[in-house]
Amino acid sequence: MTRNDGGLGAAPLLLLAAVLGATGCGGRTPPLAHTHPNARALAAAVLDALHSQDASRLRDLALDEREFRDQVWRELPAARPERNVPFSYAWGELRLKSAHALNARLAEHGGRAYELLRVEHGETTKYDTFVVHRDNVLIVRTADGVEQPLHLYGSTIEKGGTFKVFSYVTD
Amino acid sequence: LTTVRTTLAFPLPPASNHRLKPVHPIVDYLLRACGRRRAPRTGSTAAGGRSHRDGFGECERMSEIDEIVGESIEELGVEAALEHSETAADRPWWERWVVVSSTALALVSALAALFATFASDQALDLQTSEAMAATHEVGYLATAEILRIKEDITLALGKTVSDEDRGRLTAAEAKARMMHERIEEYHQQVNERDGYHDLLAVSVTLCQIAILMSGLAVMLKMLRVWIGGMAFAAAGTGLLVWTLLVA
Repeated sequence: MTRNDGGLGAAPLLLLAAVLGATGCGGRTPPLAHTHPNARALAAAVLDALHSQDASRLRDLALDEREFRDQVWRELPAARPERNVPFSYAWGELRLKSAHALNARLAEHGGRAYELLRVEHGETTKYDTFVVHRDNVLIVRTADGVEQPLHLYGSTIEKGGTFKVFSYVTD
Repeated sequence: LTTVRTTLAFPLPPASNHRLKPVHPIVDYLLRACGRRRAPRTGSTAAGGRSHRDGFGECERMSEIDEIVGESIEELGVEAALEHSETAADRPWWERWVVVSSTALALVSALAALFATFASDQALDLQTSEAMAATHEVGYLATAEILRIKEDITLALGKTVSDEDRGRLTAAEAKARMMHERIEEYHQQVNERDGYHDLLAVSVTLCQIAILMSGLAVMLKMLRVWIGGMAFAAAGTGLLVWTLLVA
């Protein structure tokens, strides 16, 4: 009896600890998916996906709605209440324009092989948990051996030491 | 009667041949209105009288009666003139100064009211300018806010804010600041003009009180009331001068 009572008394504590642990794990924001360790690796992945005309992979290399909502949006100035900019509007614009720009990139550069020389970017905006690099330019060498800049994507997000395409919009 | 004439300084016609000695025209008129004085005889009538006196004793007695009555009436006229003279002599010496001071105070009051109106008009004009500047400031602030929102959305989309938009934002913010400074200047000037107006209005009121007390002093024949009014007059005039020269 005494042993059983002791077992029943410890069970609720274990259950509570399990619930708290599960809650803690659920509250933690998962890391970004399909990331790369640096800007050059990301650029190489984009060039490779363009060469293979893999639109699905190109979309995976960019932020999706969940990642944008959970990890990016709340830190942007546009998300402040006084701005009255709804998330749906921001994500809708980002998705639509990024998808349109991606289609344009696929139509222009799809199937072509480029040799990546280096990656340059313009201004950098630092937020609390991530950094956005804008005006990315890929300096590549074409099959003809000509070195040229490519504006394949506009901005990248760097978070936790990993890189991902923020948007394919370049203008 | 000569003394009375001198005292009153009433110009009387030169001595005539009339049987009744001349009195002041007003007294003469009043006596006639009361039926106590007859119109002076004309030359022909006087000649007729002499013929009666020469011819008939009755007429002579009538003439003496007339003379007695005339002298009595003349005494009445003298009494009326004396009474009038006494009334004038009863006037306090400071009444003349009341007239002078009231006239001067009316002038000062009118000037103060005029300057108060000018100050009020200027304050109104400045308030209009301030309101217009405030409207412009709100417009520039709204423009700046829209540009900031646009910048935020642009950044949220991963794009770069154009130099043109940055320049427009900077210009709108600069214009809003300029308008704000102008509003503050206008506001300060409005307050100054309102202050002038208030001081001048108080000056007008003090002068009006002084004029009122002067009138009361004459009616009540109380010198101290007039002196009290002069205190208000001094305060009002001093306030006017101080406002115009110092404030």
